[in-house]
Amino acid sequence: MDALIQILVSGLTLGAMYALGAVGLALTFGTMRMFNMAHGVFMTIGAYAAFSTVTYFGAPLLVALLMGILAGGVIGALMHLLVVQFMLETEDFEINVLVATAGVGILLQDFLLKVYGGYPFSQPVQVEGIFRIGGVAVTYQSVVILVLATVLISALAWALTRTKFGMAIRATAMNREAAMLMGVRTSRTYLQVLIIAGMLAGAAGILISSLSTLSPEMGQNPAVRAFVICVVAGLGSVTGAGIAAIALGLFEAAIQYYFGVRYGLPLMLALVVVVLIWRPAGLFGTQEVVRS
Amino acid sequence: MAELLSIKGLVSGYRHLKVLRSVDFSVGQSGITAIIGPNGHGKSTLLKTIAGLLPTWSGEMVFDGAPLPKGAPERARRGLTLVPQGDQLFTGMTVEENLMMGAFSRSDQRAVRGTLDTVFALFPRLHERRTQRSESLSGGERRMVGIGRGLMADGKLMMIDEPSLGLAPLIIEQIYEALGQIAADGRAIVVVEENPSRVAKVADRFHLMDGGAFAWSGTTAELETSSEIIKTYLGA
Repeated sequence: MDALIQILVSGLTLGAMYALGAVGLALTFGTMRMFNMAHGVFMTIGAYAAFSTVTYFGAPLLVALLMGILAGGVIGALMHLLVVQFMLETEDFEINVLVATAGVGILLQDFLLKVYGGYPFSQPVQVEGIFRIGGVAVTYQSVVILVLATVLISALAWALTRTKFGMAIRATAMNREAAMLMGVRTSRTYLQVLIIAGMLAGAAGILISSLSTLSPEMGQNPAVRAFVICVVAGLGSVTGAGIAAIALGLFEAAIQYYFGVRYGLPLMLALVVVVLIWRPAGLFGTQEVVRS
Repeated sequence: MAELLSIKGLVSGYRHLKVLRSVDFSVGQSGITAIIGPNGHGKSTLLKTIAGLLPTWSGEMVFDGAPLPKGAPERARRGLTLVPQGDQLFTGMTVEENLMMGAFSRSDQRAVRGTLDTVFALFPRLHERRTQRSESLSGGERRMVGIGRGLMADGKLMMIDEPSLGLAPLIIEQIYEALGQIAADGRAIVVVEENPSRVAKVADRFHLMDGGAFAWSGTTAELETSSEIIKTYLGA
């Protein structure tokens, strides 16, 4: 019983963080056909922004959290305004933007290294302490992670399905030309999408760093997982990314519990390979796959 | 009365391929104007250029008393509606969501509801299927959603690219009956069709497009008397 609770708690915590990272990435790809290679660095920037707000300004945790999320949004907006918008109409946009965002990612990561150094700081933006469910120790921070991820993702789901602004994003994702014919200013929609993805990444970065440490390359591993989750879910499926993230989080927690922490990622990737052989378009993907 | 849309010397195309050589075109404040002619001669290109999906290489376009702004979204907001070829519905959305997207740039929700009722009255089938996802509809129903979505914009001019494409004759008749009703409400419509026989009953002005320019223009009566020209072009 305790084993089950332990797996559920750490699995959901992992899954919630993965979901925050993956949902933004899925939204970006689904709407713009853009793979944001700097997504991991967006997470890192959110984490460092929150860290700096507390460390250098002594702000309360909630303010630091908001600053981290805001920083993610700002970097997303800058990415669109300074880079992406000029590439939108180019031939082979998908490849161009992949290379460009990878470049921006490297640049930003080096910039963080220059400013903060390579020292692994601990994230002050977290709630300390534990409580017990049965014989299992649960940190308050896991609860914070679960609640924050649920709130942010629910807010996104609500916005996408219930507001005009969200309908414009979905319409653009489904058919860009048709959306333009409806009067949707798609360039603005893309800006909004990158801001949202950046904010979610910022939040994910703060939470991830609260469980380990801050470092300029901390976003790499979570970004790889976010990519993997998007591929398993089916590229561009936002709901699918959320569900796949939770499922893979639970799977990884179970593996870690029974086999050891180091087997978590490799076995998760093995599962992904199996899933993709069975369903090449991903679990929730609608793209048709042509096999020769 | 001034023309609703007036185009002079329009040249346009895809990338480096010039398709429209020099088109002069005007549309009145009401009635159905038909652009006919064989495939691959620029009919859809003309509509896409007017709608702003393709760039204008040269030429002048005046709509409702002012030059057309740049970009498809701005033109849609000015009341220039294009119902694109092949419907281009938002497949993951329901019928009603698709229709409501048509009214995206309108802010008076009460008036939008009114238009929605009009669309449902015109196509009762859509009312039955309003909560169904558009990808599960038949070809005829999808066309109705496409046209209904165009109507939801409550624009000044509605351009429809091949409303009969891929539909059974009986459904084509229903669609054209609906277009006739829309035009009877005093709305201006431009229809592109390969074959003039389908539009002959409802349209009052015809342009024959050939090689990126109009080869012949005339009224319904003139179309009947010059059927030889039409036959030469369409091989009917």
